[in-house]
Amino acid sequence: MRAVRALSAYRGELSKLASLPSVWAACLVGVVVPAGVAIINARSTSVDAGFQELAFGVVGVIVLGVVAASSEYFVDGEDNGRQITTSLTVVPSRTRFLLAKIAAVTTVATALAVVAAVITLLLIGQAAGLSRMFGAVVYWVLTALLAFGMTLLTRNGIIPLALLILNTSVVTVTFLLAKITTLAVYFPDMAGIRMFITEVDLPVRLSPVAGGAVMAAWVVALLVAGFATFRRRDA
Amino acid sequence: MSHDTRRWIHAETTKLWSLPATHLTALGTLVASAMLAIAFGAAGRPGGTTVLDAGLAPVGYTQVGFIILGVVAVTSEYSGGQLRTTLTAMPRRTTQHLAKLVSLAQFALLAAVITVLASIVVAGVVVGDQASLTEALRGIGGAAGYLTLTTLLSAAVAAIVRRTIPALAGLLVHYFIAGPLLRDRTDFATYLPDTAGYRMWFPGATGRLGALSPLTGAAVVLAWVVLAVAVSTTAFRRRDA
Repeated sequence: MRAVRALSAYRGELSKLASLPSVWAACLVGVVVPAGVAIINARSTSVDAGFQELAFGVVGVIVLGVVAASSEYFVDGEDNGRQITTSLTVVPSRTRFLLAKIAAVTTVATALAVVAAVITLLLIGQAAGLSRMFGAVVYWVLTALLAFGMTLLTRNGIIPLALLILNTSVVTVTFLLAKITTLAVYFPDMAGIRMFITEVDLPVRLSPVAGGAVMAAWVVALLVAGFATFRRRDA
Repeated sequence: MSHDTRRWIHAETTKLWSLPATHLTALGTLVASAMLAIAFGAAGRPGGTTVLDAGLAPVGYTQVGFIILGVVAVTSEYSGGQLRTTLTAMPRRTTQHLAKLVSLAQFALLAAVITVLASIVVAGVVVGDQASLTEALRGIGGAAGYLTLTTLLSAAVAAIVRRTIPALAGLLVHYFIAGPLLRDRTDFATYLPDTAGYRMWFPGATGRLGALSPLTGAAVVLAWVVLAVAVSTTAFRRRDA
């Protein structure tokens, strides 16, 4: 019975995501940005060719993660109530609701990341090993969950969206901070990027696995905080 | 300015100032900008750090606050049916839309001058040097002009999209992802609103960022704003509220 309930909650979340125009736009951005830059950069010979483009394409899953949480709380132009009250009427267990949501975001982010990575790496002719492509996919999924966790805490998409997109820019804020303090290399993006980018100009060297672990720890911490807040407060 | 025009602008200004989102955005932008000025002052930029370089460099990031300001000022009309109340009080749509943009421009200009001034002062303390008054005034003027135009462009885009998250996401992707990537690789990017306006706030820019003089750049950004406002006004007149 429990498994059936969990599965139907998951299906419900997936269908909610699929019904949001913003999610489709996010998927489009996630494929078009890295593929577009790959086409312009076609003659690049860097060992990170293709993977650098994927580091920018992550903006697609940022929007996905933000919208997955913010759409429950706030949609302009709709006067009558918030989606969250309906959602919790249908799935009253808050734990099950959140787990279903996280599972749905993970599913969509994984699918998007795989499609974007395959297209981009093929376009640029990058014959890198599967392990780096796997690293890029993990980075996208963790970023989506990071965006989701932040938005769950703020219940409003504006701040997470601004912070995360700003920090995907060519010279990121965290990179700038790393010039001042070596601690900045442990920010989730700076750590996570080691999973698939090899040429990084940062003071501390982290292995791909260590970088991924640091990023995952941030994501887990944020989701736990989001979870605790979400269970306690009024919908 | 006629008496009525002043009243319309005043009404919009009252609404703008009463939104917590506008104060919080302006305040957050000020603090973030000062902190970035410390970071730029301490980290140093290629080609040596002057007070103005460190004080003005944060504008590239803190413009995000002005983009949010422009978007929120417009989309706040679309939550909870505020727009219907607004149009009951001010039935002439073109007037209402333009009054909102004028009052937003005033607010943005004020916030921008304070933000940029604070960043330059903070950078001066960190770098331990002084900037010439003329150059500092020129920097503040250019940056405040650029930020105000960016706020208006964002507001016009938000008025066309009418949804907070999609408008914001689109603008941010342009200003922080697509814009910087395109300007490194393509010539037409010179005339996009972010790259064209670059020398308005960062006089030392080189390459495509420095291709247009500050005045030409300002004219190009202004042209984008006029175009966007023309589209948003037309759309606002024709659509159901």
